[in-house]
Amino acid sequence: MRRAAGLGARASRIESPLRGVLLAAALAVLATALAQAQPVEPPGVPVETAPSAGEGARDRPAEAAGGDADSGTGRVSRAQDDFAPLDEAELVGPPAGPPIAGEELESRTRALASRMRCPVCQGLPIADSPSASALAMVSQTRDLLARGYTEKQVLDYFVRAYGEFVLLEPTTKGFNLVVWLLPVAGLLLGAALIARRLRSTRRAARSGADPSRPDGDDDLDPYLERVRSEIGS
Amino acid sequence: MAIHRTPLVVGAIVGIPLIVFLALGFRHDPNVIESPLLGKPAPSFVLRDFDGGAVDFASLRGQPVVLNFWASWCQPCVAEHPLLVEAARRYAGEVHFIGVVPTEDTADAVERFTRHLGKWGPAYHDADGKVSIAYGVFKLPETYFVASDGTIVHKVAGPLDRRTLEQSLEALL
Repeated sequence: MRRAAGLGARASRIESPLRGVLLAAALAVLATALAQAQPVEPPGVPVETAPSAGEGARDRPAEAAGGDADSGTGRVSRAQDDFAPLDEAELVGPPAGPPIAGEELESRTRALASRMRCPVCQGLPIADSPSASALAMVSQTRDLLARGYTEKQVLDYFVRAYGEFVLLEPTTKGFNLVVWLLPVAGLLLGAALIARRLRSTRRAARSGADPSRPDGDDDLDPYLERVRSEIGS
Repeated sequence: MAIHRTPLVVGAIVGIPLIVFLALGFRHDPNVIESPLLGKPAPSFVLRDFDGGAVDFASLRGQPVVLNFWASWCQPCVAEHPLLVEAARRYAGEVHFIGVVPTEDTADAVERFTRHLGKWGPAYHDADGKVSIAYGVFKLPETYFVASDGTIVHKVAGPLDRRTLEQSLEALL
């Protein structure tokens, strides 16, 4: 009992400095949970309810290969064979690496797609999402890697359009450093507090004092003394 | 009762920055993804429509463009459609109104949609989704207001309302 009382007092003294840290950690976890508690699809977003590519997608009719030119509306005629809707080099420069294919392309696509967030899902990487948006992003990732774009270029391409939101792991620069450093700082702080407490406990033991007995005030408590005498300590 | 200063100091060092961090974080709507493209050149693209034509976006430079990503199955797109029909009529000759429909959309569905609700501009088919990705589209409808020099000056994610549309168009001209 005396030991229990001593431990209780000691625990309360150890807890006091750590209480702030634990409370802060709990608040951070709660905040993260609340921030992620967004709906899978925001109201009014129809992407998931769209017909699948197999049901609804349809190739452009063959006659669409040559349209009437109309400079007033930007309409132009295009040959179907060399049709490319975008020139990615305009946006992220030319490919900085060699083209890749086969198993290497698939594994690198999968690895990179696992690092990017599906914009219409709840914390899912595009590699794991069946949504049309995510499938298009995986396809674009594969296409860019196949043409020799490096992983950094591909990530830059998506960040340029979606912002850093698209990265599942925040970059280690600027304000994002807080996300990486805060847990380490918390651990170091906790370790420092525990070390300090252990040191004072050892010091008290060396000087002959009972480290389990809190200082001072228990001597004034007759009930505690009575309990101690009854349990024979 | 003795006041231990250490826990107060530790709590303040850890707690105050955390509370500020959370306060700033909760002011941000997680459903809103800020577009990093604002103030930057709109990505150029070439897309086809379902009628046999194509558009070269770069050729539209010199006149403001309202670029609207929509879909035939999208209810918010239905809600904003009359506003776009009206605006396209009012700003004809001054502003290009360009629509882009996603991979899954079909010629029949787009034709039914515009026959029923009216047509405000051509609808180009983003067959492989690359143009939507280049613009960071995540929520239909999305509308980009592109100045005559090709710079994106405003973006609206979700259905347009009359006031936003009018203000954005006036800012373009």
